[in-house]
Amino acid sequence: MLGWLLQHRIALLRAFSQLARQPVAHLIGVLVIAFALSLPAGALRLIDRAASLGQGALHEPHLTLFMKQDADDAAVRAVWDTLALRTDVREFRYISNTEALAEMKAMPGLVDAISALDRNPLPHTFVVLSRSPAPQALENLRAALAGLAKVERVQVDSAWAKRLDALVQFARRGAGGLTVLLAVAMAFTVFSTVRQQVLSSSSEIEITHLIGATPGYIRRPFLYFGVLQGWLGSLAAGLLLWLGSRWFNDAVQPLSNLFAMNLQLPALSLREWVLLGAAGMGWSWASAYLSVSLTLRRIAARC
Amino acid sequence: MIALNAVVKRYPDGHEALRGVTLDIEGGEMVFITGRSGAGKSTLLRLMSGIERPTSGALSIHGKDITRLSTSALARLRRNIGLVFQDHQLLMDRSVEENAALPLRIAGLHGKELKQRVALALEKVGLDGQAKASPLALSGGERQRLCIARAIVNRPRLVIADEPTGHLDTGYANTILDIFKSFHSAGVTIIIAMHDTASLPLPNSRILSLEDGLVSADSETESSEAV
Repeated sequence: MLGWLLQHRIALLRAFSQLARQPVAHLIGVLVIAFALSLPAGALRLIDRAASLGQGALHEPHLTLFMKQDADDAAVRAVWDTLALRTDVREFRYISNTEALAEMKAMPGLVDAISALDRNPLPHTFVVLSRSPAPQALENLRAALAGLAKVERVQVDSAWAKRLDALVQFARRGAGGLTVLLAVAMAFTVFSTVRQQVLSSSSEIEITHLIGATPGYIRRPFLYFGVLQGWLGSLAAGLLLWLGSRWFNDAVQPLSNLFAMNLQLPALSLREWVLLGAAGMGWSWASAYLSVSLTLRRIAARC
Repeated sequence: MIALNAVVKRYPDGHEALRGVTLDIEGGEMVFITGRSGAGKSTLLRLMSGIERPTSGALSIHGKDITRLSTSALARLRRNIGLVFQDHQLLMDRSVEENAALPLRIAGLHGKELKQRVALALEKVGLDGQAKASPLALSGGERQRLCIARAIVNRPRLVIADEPTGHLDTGYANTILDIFKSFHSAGVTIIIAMHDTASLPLPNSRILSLEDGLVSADSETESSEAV
């Protein structure tokens, strides 16, 4: 058992020394892996963020009812009573034009503009939550509410979420295709790097094969090399994602403030780090295994 | 120790190197396999060392039928056989002692025991003073001795050598043969393929002559007899 562990240690050290021997050449390989991992991972994180924004709206289908400017308290009361009686309305919230104006005044940069107004231009508003998320039910409710007295307009707010959802599904497909393409590029990089190493060690492989090395023994240092390259690539990918998230979050900060929504990407979670590492090391191991096995088969045929 | 029954070896290009060889080699024998180039000596040695498998027929080494062994099991079997190659098969970028230690590392040995065994093997072949040297600094005869040290470092019961004196002058060839004889005296089974045995003294030996892929003669020499 100790001997077996020692052989693994030697194989690992040998993989490290291979990396140290040609740091620039291997750095390029590590960067290819890092980009191959970080590009689809970054795209998927953005898509997931967009999807989570849309999901809230999809699962909480609501409409916004704007009253006419001249709507008085009686008209507002009539709409209130109608909403309270409708069975297809789960709940609703009333925002008076005074409340709305006060909210706007609280927003930085709008105080001066609002103070310059001679009257409140905002309408009384109801935010209505439908009991059913079905598009037809929403449309029926919208039409019914639009026909009430002193109602200016009724807007289905989940429409944008539906469009976003469709875009997200499309983007997911695109990211899937990108992942496959980059995974192939990553496999090719590891495959050719390991193949070069196997070929440059062919005389040693032939000799160790002749004097009793098992295929597993011969493969081991090359597999460790592949895994090591994948691990370094995963770390670099994590770093790229962190830098990318920081850049994105800085860029999106004004938008977040404007829409009062959290558009920022969260930091990589432990689960994401583990997934990134597993994808990098696992895929590199598989590519290295394929490369070393095919090359060894050719070498063994010569022996 | 080694049993061949109607062994045929045919290569993918159609060349039949062995055409039905049947023979038994017992433990403790010293066997010389002779024959012209192309007679099948090297092929026979590669089969008996477990480097290749027969196309047909049965071949067992140390009681194991090699046609039924997996690639890994066959590799592990080869660890119990000391192999000496005509072209040495040394790693020129490693020192003499690292070359000699290679079979021990493959077997998972390490530390003090590894160093002791390597030192002993190098001492047996007279290379103990050159442990740190590069094989590039060794003469042809010294390289062959290093190859022998590597073959015996695992303390095998069987040593197989393919033309170990092929490139050496008579003086060096005798030295190499003396080393093999000393192992044989210690109970190790020795199988050596040689192109020409006429000029060498081969006492207490069995001579197998190969011709066109078949054993054409199987004889024994008397003690201290020159063949």
